[in-house]
Amino acid sequence: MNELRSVRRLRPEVEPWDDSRSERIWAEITGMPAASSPPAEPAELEPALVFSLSAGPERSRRPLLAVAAAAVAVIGLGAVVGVRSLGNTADQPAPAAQPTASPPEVDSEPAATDAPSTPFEDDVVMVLPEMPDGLKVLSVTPPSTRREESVTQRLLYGAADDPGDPARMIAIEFDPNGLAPIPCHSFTSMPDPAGRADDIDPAAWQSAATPVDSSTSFTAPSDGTESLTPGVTGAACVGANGLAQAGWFASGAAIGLTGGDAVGTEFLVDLAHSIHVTDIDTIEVTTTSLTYDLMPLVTHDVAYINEITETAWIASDATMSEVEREQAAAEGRPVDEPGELAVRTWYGGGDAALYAIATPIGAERITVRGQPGYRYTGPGEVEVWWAETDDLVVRVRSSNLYDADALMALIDQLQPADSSDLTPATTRSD
Amino acid sequence: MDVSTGERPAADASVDLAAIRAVYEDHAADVFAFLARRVGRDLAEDLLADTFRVVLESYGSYDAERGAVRVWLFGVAANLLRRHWRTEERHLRALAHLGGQRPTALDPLLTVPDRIDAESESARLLCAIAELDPDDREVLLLRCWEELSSADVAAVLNITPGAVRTRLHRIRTQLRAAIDDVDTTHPEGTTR
Repeated sequence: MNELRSVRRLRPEVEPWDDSRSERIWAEITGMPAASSPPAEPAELEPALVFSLSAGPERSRRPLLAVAAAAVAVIGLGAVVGVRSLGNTADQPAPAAQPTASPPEVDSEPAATDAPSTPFEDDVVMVLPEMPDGLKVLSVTPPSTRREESVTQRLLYGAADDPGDPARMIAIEFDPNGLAPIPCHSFTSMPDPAGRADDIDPAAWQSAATPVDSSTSFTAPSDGTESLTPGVTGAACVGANGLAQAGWFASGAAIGLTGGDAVGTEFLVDLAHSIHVTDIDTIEVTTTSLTYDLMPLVTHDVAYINEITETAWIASDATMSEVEREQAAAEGRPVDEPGELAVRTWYGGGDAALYAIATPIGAERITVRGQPGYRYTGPGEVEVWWAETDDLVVRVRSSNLYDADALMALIDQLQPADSSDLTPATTRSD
Repeated sequence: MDVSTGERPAADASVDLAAIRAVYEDHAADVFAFLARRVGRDLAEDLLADTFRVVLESYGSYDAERGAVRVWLFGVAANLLRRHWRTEERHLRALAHLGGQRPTALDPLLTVPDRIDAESESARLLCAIAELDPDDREVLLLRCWEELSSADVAAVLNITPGAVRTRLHRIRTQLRAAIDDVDTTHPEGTTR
């Protein structure tokens, strides 16, 4: 059967678009009186909503989101980022005229009583009531959605008895185009592409992959008794970060595994044999009997379709502008690496966002503002992320600025605000 | 939003209302039909009004080189539709939480299995559509019901044309499997 044609035949008919409806809605949009305003139609049951089937459910007019008056008193990011408050945050211009029907009475109540589902809208941002001395906001990214799907997909596994334990997590990175670097392999033998970087031939890329000296090779049995494509060879190793890794190409795809602190290379090799490519953009793990169960999250679909709204701001202690730094470097004068504080919010990702905004593998599990979160500490860098509510995940990164304790103290001060009230710096505050 | 100032431009005199009215006259019917097919007439009117409020707000930043105005409008409408569902779902979750009940599905498609004559082939296909991933369902319905090209669907949803093709391939496989599964399991046409 032609499925798409069958679906097309199911397209429901809608009422004809007529002049009176057109004028009435136009008047609602512009706030101007309609040329000939017909009386508002009486509230009535919808016609069959989608299909010519039995009568559809009665639908009320669109309830207006009544965010409880969570008027968070936010002073603003000093003189640099001005913030007013979190109010009713539907990100549309003030409507010239609201629908005549009253919204359901229940609108204004429940969200505020459901604590984990704090009624943040997708344009919420976390801000400091006062900017620390010497710090200036460099950039503000207003709410935006991802424009492209990620090429690489990521599946994250956790231990069945404690899925959030980063030490026992395993990440599977998967690029169906086969052009991603894979762990435990060097690509230095890859000649420079003749054209653009995305003109690289996958076959040339994959044949250039050379297992690093410290790795251990593994090969799937050629009799097909393993899920790993027969004859496929991969390599496992302990990476520079001390974590076990494995990588291989199969069915034209690039696959990489990384385990947490408690995961060894032998375990990853065992797991590798249970992974196979099932479609052009999916992989399957044929067994989860290795005491690991799939965590309820992950893959690029969580993060890269128009489901997650991201807002961010970055502050720095730089005393020189980018241009001044470049000039100083060119003249041989000392140039300090400026410190940075970056605060990023993801709204709408659900439970998965906590794991998708950053990989917990290699991080420490902590409680942040009373909520589950993780902290990664590297040279000159501290990164903390947590689920502020069911729908809001926050990630704060400090580079060359704060140690872990100082950053945690700063995080405790963060407050939610409406990002539409966030204005980027136009002048220095000092 | 004007990023440089953080201010939302109001629909003031600088807005070329005549131009937007022309866009409205050319495309409002199609966008309304798209919305009405998904949420019913009354709500579609509200969302259509919201769509054109966004147009009023941001028409000045519309870049014709990035796609046809029709695609832009569908993109705005699709985003508002998703936002509406997310908002209502949150709202219902809160209500359900208070009442100790499970929330009801909002996308009318998701209520189809409860409402239809389950023995028809159309019903089985609709059940399969209802069970698709919401993003996949959006791709399918924009392509089949609104008759947008794959490139336009990609532009509306801010994904690559390749992703649209990949998803359509996956959707067809899923629909076929769902229907074949019923046929195999219930050769006489009965359903699960």
